[in-house]
Amino acid sequence: MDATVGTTTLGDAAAARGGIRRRLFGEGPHGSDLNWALAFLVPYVAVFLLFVLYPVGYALWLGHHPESYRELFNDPIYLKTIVNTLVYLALGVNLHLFGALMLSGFFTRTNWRVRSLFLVYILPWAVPAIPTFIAIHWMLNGEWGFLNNLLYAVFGIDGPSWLNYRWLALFSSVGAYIWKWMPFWTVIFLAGRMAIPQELYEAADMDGAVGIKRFVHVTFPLLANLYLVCTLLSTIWTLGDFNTIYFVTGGGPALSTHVLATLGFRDAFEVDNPQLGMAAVLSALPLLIPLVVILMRKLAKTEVQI
Amino acid sequence: MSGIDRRTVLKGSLGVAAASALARPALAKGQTIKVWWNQGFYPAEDAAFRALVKDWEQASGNRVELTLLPGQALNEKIISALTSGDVPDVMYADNAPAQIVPQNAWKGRLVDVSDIVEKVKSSLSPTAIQSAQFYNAEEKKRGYYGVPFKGATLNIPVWKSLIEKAGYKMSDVPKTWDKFFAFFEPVQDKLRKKHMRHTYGLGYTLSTTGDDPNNTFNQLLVGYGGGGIVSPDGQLHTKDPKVRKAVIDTLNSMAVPFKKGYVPPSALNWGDPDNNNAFHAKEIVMTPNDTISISVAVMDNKKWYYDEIATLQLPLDNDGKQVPALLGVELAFIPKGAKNIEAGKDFISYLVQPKHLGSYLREAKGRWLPVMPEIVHNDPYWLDAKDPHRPPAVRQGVLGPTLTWFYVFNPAYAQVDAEHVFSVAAADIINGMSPDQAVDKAFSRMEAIFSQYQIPHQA
Repeated sequence: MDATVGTTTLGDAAAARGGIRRRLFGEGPHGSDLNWALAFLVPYVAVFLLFVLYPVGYALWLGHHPESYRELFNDPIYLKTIVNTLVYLALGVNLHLFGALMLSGFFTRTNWRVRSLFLVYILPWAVPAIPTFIAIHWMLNGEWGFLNNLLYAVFGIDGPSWLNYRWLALFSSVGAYIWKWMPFWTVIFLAGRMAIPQELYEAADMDGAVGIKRFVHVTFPLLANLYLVCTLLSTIWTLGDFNTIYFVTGGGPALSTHVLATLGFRDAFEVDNPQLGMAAVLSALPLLIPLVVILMRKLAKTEVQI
Repeated sequence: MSGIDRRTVLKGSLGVAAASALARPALAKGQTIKVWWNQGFYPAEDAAFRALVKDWEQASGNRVELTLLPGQALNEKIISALTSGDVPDVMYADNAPAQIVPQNAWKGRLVDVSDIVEKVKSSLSPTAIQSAQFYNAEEKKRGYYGVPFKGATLNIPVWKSLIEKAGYKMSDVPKTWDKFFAFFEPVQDKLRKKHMRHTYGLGYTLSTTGDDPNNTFNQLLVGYGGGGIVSPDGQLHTKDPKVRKAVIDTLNSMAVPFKKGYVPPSALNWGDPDNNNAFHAKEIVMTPNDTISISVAVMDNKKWYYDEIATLQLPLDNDGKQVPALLGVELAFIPKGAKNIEAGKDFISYLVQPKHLGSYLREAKGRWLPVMPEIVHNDPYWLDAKDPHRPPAVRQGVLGPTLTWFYVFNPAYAQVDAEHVFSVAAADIINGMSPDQAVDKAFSRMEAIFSQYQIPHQA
C-alpha cells in the first residue's frame, strides 16, 4: 500500500516537474541541449544581475527615503534645474534631430566634394567627448578664449562673457551638444533615406512632386517612424547627459545651468550626500518611464517600417 | 567558592594582564593595508609619499597597496566606499576635511583615532588638535576622527614685475586690509594704459565649484571680523550684527571690484586650477590661494620664482591688528569596516612621527605646512631667507595666529561651503540684488542646512 502510494507520489512529482519545465521552456531543448542552453544563458543572466539589476536596485534603494525628496525640493536651485533640464531637452533634442534630418538630405549627394565634407562633418562625433567639451569651455572664455579673440581680430569687438549669463551659458551648452551629436543622427537618417526605394521618387517625379513637395509627401512620411524613434531615444540620452553641462559650464554661473544629471552628481559627490544625489536623478523618472514605455512599444512593432 | 581562593584569582588576573601587555604593542607582520591617497600637484609630492610608504614597509614588515588619485576622482571613490561599506584601511584626500570627514564623523562611519593623536599631541599646534575633533551624532560627543599631519592657509602671490611695470614698488603695497586690496585697482588701470588689455588687478575666484571660492570668502570674512559665524560648540550666529556686517563687507569687497572690472569676468566660472593658470599667464596681478602651489609650480623658472613673483601674507585688519589665518588642516583617517585597522593606525602613527613627517613634507618641496611647530624650529629649510615664498607661508600658517575652520565645529558648514552659498550671494549682488537681500537669502539657506545638524550647546 505504502509502496503504491510512494510510486504514485513520485510519478506526480515528475509530472509536475515536467509541467514546470514545459511552462518555462515550452517544447524547447531537453537533455544535453538544455544544459548547453543553460551554459550559454547563465553568463548573460549573471552579467545582467550584476551590472544591471544590482546597480539599478541599489540606486533605487539609495533614493528611496522620502526625506531626500523633501530636502531636494527645498533646495533653492532644484526648480531652476528642472526648467534648465526641460529647455535643454526641448532645444537640444529637436534642433539637432531636425538639423540632422535636413543635412542627411544634403549628404545623399554622391559627388566627392560632399563625401569629403561628410568625413569632416562626422569628426565631432568621432572624437572623445570630455576633452572636446573642456576645449569648448576654454574657447568660450571671455578674456582669452578663441571665440572672443576671433571676434576681436576680425571685427574689432569684445565678445560677451559667454559663460557668465545663465541663458547664454545654457545655450552655449546646447550648441556644444548639438555640434557633438548631430553627426551621429545624420548618419542614422542618411541610412534611413538610403532605404527608401528609388522607384517611389521616380513615381513622385512623374506626379510633379519635386523639391520641397517631394520631401513633404514622400521622404518625411516614410522617415516619420524612424524620426519618432530617434526623438524618443535622443530624449532619453539627453536627459542623462552629464558631460556637456559639467565640462562646458560646470553648472555655473552661480549654479544656474545645472541639469538633473549634474545636480545629482553635485549632491552625491560635492555635498557628500549620495541619497540626495540619487533622489535628484530619480526625480526624472516620471518623464523617463513614459518615454521608455513608448519607445519599447514602437520598437516592438513587427512590421518593417523605415 | 570551594575551588577558587584569593591566590588563584590574583594569579589569574596577573596572567591576563601580562598576556594583554605582551599582545598589544606587537603588530603582526606580513599584513597588507590598502591606502588611498591624494595625488600630488607635481611628481615630487608623490615620490616623497612613496618613499615614506617604503620606509614604513621596511620598518613594520607589512605592505601597502597604494592607490594615488587626483582630488575629485578620489573624493568620488571615498564617498562611494563610505556609502557602500567596501572601504580601504587608510584614506586621505586634500579636501576631505572640508567635504567628507565632518559628515561621515557625524554619521559614525569613521574610526576614533584618539590613541594616535594623544601620542603626538604635545607636538601638534592647538589649531591642528582642534581641527581633528568632529561631532559624532550617534555617540553625541566629539572625538578625534582624523590625524592631522599638514596644513595650509591663504597666501597672496603677486607679480612683483607687474607692480613695478605699473610704476609702483613692493614697499608701496599697503599693510591694512581694505587699502591692501584696493591697491591693485590702480595697478590694473596703469597696466591697461600700457596696452595690457587682459590684465586684471584682483584674482578672486567667484565660481561655484571647488575650494578656492570658499577659501577666499571665509578668510576675507575673518579679516572683516566675522570669524564668529560658527562658534566652537557648533552653533550658527547669523543673528549677530557683527557677523552680518562682516558678511556684507566681505561680499561687497568681492562683488564691487568685479562689477567695476577689476576681476576677470571668467572668475565666475573658474575651477580650482584656473586662478593658478590665470596668474601664470599674467592675466591677474594677485590671487588669494591656499598653499604656495602657484610659486612651487614654477620653481624651475628661477627668474620667476626668485625675482618676479612674491608671496605676501595676509594684511593687517583695518584697525592695524593681525588677522588670524584659517588653517586648513589635512587629516589621515580610517573608515569603520576597514580590515586592518591596527596596521592602518600603525602606518599613520609612523607618518606623524615629527622626524618622518618633516622629512616627507620637505621632500615634497614644502608646498604644505607642517602642523607641528617643532619641525619648523628644528629644520632651517622652512625659514630659509633665500626662499621668497615658503618663509612667509610658514610665518603665517605655523608661527602666526591661526583659526580652526568652521566646518570642524559643525558639518552643516561643510554643506554651506559645498553648496557655495556665499559665491551664489556674491553673484546675486553682481546681478543687481542688494547686499542685504543677498545676505538674507544666504542666511536663510544656512539656517535650513544647520537645522539638519543640531548639536547641543555644550558639545
